[in-house]
Amino acid sequence: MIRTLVNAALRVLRPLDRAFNRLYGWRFNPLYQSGTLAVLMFVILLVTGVYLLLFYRIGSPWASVAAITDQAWGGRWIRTLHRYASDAAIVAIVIHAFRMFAQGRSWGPRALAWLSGVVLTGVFFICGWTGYVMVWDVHGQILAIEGARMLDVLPLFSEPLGRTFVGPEPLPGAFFFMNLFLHIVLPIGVGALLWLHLSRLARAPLMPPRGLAWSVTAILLGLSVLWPIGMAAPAAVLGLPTEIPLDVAYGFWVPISRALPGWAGWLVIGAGSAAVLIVPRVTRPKPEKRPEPSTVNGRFCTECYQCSIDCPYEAIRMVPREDGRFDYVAEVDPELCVSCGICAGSCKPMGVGPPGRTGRDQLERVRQFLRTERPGPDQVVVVACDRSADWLVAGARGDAIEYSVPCAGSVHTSAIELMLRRGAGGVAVVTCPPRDCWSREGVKWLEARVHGGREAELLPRVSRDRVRLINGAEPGLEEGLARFAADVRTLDLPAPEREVELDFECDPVPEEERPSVSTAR
Amino acid sequence: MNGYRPSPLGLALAVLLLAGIAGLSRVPYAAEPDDRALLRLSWRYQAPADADCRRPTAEELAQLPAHMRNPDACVRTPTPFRVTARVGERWVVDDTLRAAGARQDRPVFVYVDVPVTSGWHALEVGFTSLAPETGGMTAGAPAVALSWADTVRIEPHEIVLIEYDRASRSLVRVLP
Repeated sequence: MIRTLVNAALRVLRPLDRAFNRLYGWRFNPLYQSGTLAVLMFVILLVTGVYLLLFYRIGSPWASVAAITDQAWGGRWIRTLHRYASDAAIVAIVIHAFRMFAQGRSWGPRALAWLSGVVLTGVFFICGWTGYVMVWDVHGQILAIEGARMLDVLPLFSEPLGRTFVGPEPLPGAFFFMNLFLHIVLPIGVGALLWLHLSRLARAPLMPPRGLAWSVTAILLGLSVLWPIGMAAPAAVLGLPTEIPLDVAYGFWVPISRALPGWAGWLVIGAGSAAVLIVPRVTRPKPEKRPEPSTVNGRFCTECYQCSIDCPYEAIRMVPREDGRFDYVAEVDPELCVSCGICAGSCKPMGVGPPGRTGRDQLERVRQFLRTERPGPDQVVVVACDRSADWLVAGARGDAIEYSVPCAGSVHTSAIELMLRRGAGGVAVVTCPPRDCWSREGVKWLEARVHGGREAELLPRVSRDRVRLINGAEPGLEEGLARFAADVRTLDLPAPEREVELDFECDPVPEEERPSVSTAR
Repeated sequence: MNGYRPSPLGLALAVLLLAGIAGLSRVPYAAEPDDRALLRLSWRYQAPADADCRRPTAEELAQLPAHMRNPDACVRTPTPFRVTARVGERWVVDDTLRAAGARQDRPVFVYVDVPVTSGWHALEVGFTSLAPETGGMTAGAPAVALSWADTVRIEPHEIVLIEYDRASRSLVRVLP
């Protein structure tokens, strides 16, 4: 059932990704940047919030916000931008969560990110709620009254909270002070939770690419100037609200809540929260299908540090070794390893990787593949991972031979070299767009190994004319493959080698670039 | 800008999507039907509890921590209250309320909303103490019988708020 849901979500996501790639290019596809866009909105909220805070008065909440809104050259659009950014943040968060769900990136070591993300969303939402109550217009009043009605169901307060909002006396300043205090303190909580959310990621990007960030900000700013929000009627004690300009992002629940008794509202919240919180548990594959974490074969580890640097999840650390060969040896923390296999591509001596997917395992698989497929000098082998293969629409392969791998980013350069030296005319590795690599940094490191000389590099003796890395999301994949195949046919290729000797020697990372080592074992 | 050149269609869609988000931040929501009004009962009443008191002996007091040496040892029996409301001929509220708090030593809080249609209505609200449920009465709680009644025209979306006025010790309608 849950697998069906995940697959259905992925079926929705894929065409959307493709459409947005066509419109914005993979670098600036906002769907790939949903998490960083949410952070950008948070930053906009902080900046605009500081300005609004200068003019807000807890003694006259509605009047002070109305005065801000009357500032045609400042307050009006800043308040509007504050509002629009808070709404856009919710949309970005929902897309981000949907994306992670659809891609199955919510269980195992990623469960912490999922769960902290859920709490983060809740805190963010409550922060927005307090923001609306601060204005104390009919919208804020209905949020406050409905919230109080829900809380009054719980045996927490001896006096019904709802009574706070009725009666002829104005609300005490203490209420608005408390509300303002929460509105300021909760973003600190958001910051702390964001740190926790990203704590298991190496080099987590916080901001979208500059072009996208400025574009989104500029559009929101333009909308704020051209389409500012006005003031709703002030909260009225002796009158029912007639028509409320409801913010769907923060008030979507109000019509539902008003139709239900308080306990039913809690039931809905409880069921909804439980459904979201158990996602890591229910999306986790069965034990027999669960990919195993990477392991290190200490015999091959030459203390080069590269795997510990490249691991996108900070699951590998260097610990002291005791056999006297080197000072340190790589060690994988299985609690943090998502089995992405990036380390397998990073390790020149092929001493680390998930079982069955290390560099040595890759070479063995390639040998079998070459024995059965026997690619000729005029043929191209298209290496594609389960996900990047999705970009290879029917016909795109031409007469190329497809070789599938779990993740293109984990392909060892020796495997590419072996294919070429054993007779294949060329090797094209079709990758996911770097911003959508399910293993986070696989594409980036592969490119650096093939073209940038990064450790575990494709050796200089391998002609780069015979290797092509193709981003599946770039337009013209079919033409690109056909052009590469045509180029390969024009090359003067050496004769296939029967026995290929590969270089397993690893160059240690310079000391100053090494991460700190753990002395604990 | 980092080589970012969105197509005109992409730009238009981005503006449209963000404008959609902006539009969703102010969706008109009719919170109440046009002829809806409300009778709201909202007050707090510090209920005098029946107390069965005696003076502890010096030995009993000596056994207690200093801060707990109350000269009167009382067993309090909170008085329950009945709150009622009638709109026309229809009884719309008839509840028994007890003092709040784990020891029922807090006031009685009344907070009830009764939706009514706009127009003329004969309203009647009552708040009376009931006989204590247990215990004898030495300090004795006086009986409470408060009421408010009137025939009023209620405008659409108006809230008729009935409160307890401590000065006059009666239920009153709060007028704007």
